[in-house]
Amino acid sequence: MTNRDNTLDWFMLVLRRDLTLSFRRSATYITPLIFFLIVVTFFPLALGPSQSLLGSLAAGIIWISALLSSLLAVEGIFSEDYRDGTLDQYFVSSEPVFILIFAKVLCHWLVCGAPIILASILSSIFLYLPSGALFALIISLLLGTLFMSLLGALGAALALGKSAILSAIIVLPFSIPTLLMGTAIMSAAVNQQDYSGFLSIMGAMLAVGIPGLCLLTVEAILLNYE
Amino acid sequence: MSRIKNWLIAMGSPPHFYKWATSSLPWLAGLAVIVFCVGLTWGIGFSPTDYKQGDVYRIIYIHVPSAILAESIYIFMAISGFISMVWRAKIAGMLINSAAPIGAGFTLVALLTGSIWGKPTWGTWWVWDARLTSTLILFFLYAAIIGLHSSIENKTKGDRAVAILAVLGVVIVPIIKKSVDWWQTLHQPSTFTLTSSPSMSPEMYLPLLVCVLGFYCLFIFMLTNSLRGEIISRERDKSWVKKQFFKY
Amino acid sequence: MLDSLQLLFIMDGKGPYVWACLLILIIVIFINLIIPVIRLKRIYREETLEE
Repeated sequence: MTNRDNTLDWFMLVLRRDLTLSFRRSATYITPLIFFLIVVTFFPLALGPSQSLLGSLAAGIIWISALLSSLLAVEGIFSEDYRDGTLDQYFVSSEPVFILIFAKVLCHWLVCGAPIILASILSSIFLYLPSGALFALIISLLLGTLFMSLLGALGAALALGKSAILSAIIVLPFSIPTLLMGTAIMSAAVNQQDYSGFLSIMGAMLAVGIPGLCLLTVEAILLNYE
Repeated sequence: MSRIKNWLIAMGSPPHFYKWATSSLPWLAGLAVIVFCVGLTWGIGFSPTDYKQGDVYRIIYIHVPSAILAESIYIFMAISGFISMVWRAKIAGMLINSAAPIGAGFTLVALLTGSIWGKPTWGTWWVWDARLTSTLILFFLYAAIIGLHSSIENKTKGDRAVAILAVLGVVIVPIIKKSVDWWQTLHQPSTFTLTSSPSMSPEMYLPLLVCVLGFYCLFIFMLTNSLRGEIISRERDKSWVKKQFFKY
Repeated sequence: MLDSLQLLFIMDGKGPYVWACLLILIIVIFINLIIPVIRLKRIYREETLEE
């Protein structure tokens, strides 16, 4: 075994392991995608197929569906590793645990968030999203789903082993600033205004959130080891 | 100074707190009932009629103290959670669980009374203005805390989980309020805000202060009552409980 | 000013609103007060009845 003294190496190891495990079972990356598409489909079914109505609601619908999909998909992020003892190894190792946790979150984001973003491109056609806003949609969703994965990991850690809905309830109020920012970016894009300010705010939330939420997630996981 | 510190440390242990709670409960109840009733009867019965809204504005004496208390209780829970994380005081951990239903109750009262107040004055049961929206979100935060704690079997572990949630929440709540404020101005560019409260003469303002004070006294009474029950139900196997509560 | 009890109750036709709010407040306070009492009574009954 090569000598892995560098924290970055451990980070990449956890990331590669989780990615490999996630791609082994196709359910891991297909189900959030399908859930997202189903939820998006339900809105025209419920609201009627009028192009103007759907077009005006498209940004909000896509954002809410992305929020819910990435929250519900994060359920199993810790449960298996907790059960078979891999999580213990993280704590026993001399590496800062929150970096390894961030590796897991990043993997989850790549596995669930990326398909959702691709599906959102499809949804923008379903929901008649005004064409100028597509780029803004992708960028805002990129940042937003990462934040949601972070929050979802915290919720999954707090409610480890309990239902997915409970972790969703815990975490959804905290995602309100992200939701408001994301939809603000969208409405600015639709009106051809400059949305770079909102993007920087989202970036700032991520910059604070990545270390902060990962540390809190570590605290929450540690509760299970008392 | 050291006497206060000793008193605080003593209060942190469940047996001491239980003894203090049981003996002071009647006094707290009496104080709460007096101030609460004085404030409410003064406000609802005796304060002058408002020029614009008529007598319906008297709901303010229920609505505003409830809203103030709903927020204060959340901050109180967050401070208590912080204390339980840093100093590992058992009482501080139990306190979050006891205070959460009380806080959720006051938030619910604030929401319902605000809605009922809105119907005759603005013509609608609900409006998505900044204050009502953030009160609704606060209610969800309380529900999250109650739900999380009830789902964890080991109550001490539940205390710690909920402490994390409360501390995180108190950091997020100002951010949420600011963003909801901003969201509201974004979607309603007119300067007409529906939450303008009547400008208050001192005759209206004084009973409001007394009401707020009464609600706080009531909260302390309710919290002590609730904590008493929480302590006994958690520590029912300990010997001090057998001596003090069951009187074996 | 409290002219008459009648005026207080009806409040120009808006009386039910105010009294409904008061009722909600009383109910919420009552529920929060009664739940610990019921808990304690149940614990007492359970422990003293274990034979």
